[in-house]
Amino acid sequence: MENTHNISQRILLPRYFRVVGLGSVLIAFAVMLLYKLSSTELLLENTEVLKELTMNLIILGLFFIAWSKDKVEDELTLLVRLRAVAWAFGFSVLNVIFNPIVSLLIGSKAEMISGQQAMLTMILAFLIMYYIQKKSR
Amino acid sequence: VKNTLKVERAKLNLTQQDLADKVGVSRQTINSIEAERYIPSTLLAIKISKIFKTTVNEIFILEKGE
Repeated sequence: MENTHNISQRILLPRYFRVVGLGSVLIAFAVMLLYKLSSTELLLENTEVLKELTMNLIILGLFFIAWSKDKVEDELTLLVRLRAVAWAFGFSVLNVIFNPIVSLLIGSKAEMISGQQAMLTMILAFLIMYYIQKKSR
Repeated sequence: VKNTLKVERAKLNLTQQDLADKVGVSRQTINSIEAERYIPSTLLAIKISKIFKTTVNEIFILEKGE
């Protein structure tokens, strides 16, 4: 039977991925900011590509931050991660179900959330729950 | 599950960090166990009892109704 330390070693990314993730998120925000501030007129298609790329970079960066090892990985950290995944999963399901209803009530039509939005919400919910539980353990 | 970890630690004059280093977990994990917010795995319980040269049952005690 595998112990928790081995599981953490196998499924999590090395600690330096936290820095890589943070760098990716910052680069994505910098690109978005530069695009907003620049006077360069890009074609509409390029704007969409840029939006997709920056969004994907943010998701990837947040995933690296969420899934990289802590300074000390032990069985309690693994339990905290499991709880955070459960919260994030539950929150995402509710978000996918209720977001269109809320947008219908506020706006005129029920807009479904995209895969990227769902993924971003899930990772953010994971990170928030993970750090809240880590602080209160 | 109650535990006598704090008492055992005091007997050996170990800090939470010392014990954490010896059993390979974080200080927060030892703190959570002492505060009875977290029940350790069998492996960790055995490691802890070995440090104090006693049995797991001496440190971790089942409460009535458990």
